[in-house]
Amino acid sequence: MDNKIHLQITTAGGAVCDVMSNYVAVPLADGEAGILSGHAAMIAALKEGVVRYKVDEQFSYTAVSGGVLSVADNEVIILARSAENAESIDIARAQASEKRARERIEHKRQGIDLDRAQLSLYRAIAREKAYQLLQKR
Amino acid sequence: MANMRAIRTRIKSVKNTQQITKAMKMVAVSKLRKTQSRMQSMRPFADKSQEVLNTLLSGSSGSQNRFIKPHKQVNKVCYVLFVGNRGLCGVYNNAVLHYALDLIENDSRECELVVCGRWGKDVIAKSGVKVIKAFPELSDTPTANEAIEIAEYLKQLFLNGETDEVHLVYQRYISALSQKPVTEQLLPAKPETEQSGAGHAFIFAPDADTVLESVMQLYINNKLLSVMLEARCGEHTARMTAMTSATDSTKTLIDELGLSLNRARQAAITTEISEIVGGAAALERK
Repeated sequence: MDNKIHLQITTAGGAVCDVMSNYVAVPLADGEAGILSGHAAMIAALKEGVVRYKVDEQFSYTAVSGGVLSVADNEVIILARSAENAESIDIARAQASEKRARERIEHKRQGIDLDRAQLSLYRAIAREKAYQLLQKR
Repeated sequence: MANMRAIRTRIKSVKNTQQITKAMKMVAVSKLRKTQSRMQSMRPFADKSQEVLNTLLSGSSGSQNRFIKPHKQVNKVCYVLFVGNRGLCGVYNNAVLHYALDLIENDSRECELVVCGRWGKDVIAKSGVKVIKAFPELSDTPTANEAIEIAEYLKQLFLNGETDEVHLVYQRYISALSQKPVTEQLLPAKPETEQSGAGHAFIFAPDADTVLESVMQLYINNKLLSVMLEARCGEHTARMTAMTSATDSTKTLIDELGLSLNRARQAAITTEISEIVGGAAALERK
């Protein structure tokens, strides 16, 4: 149990991940941040991206789409808007939604909210990235 | 004297009805259970985000956040009405609709309605209130993604200035037997804060305002999901109660019909016997 930090990823739909991890890397607004056990208390805004965490030399990946991260008492709690473990990502769906988002941004159709399209694009890319990372493992 | 065949047919049809109401009750029970378990699984998340929110609001000037800061003038109000997906659940839908219409009538500002749920499209249209958006395709056991979709829409509405306040109108689930229509303000948000004793010196990355923005997004999504779940819980419970009493009534009806069937049969037998006896007596006299 030494040198490990408790990682919890939860969404409104329930817990996605709850493990003791050696190392957690999270996507923050100003780049990826690594968290080891004994990290100082921190509250941070999470970007769309991939959370990587290592358990016994093995990396696992979870795609998150924005949220909040809180570190306190050797516990990392990620409150995500939505989160998906790499194992359960449907790559075809992710690619389809990336394509859709790109089309929306390009055409700039009336009534389409650009910010939202941009966000859904980031989300789709994050899911694809998590999937690819898992394949490479 | 009632016709025996007619009574038999009647009993059969009442039995069919009973089967249907029983099945509907079972369906409502299982959906209720599913909704309740969803409620349970979102609780840790809600607690944690409340915790983070407390920490943030106790420290900084949270009132400047775009979701918390009220609009200068409140001219337009948007009511979000949560109704069920279908009827046959007692007064559930009607009660909440009348409550909402009362609210709108007593509101001097310009009111609009967003309807979540499939029920009562025509009834609502007839009431003459302007419906700007309906979400009829919601499932009976709401998921986080459905809540996010509605939440995003409402946030846009508020931030674009198309509405100045957003209120949720739904049936609050009090117990299995009673629900009460209530209204709650979603935007501008009024997060309740409790002073948390455990004072960690948190580092904020990148800064407290950005984090607050993220937390508020989650908070609003959360709020909506919990209201949706509560409303659905109420709907399933109401349907369960309605169907239980319907099943009970069919039972009483079947008993009564059985009684009159027996009476009719008895009467028929008596007539037959007296005819036979009468016939035999007539033969003897010969």
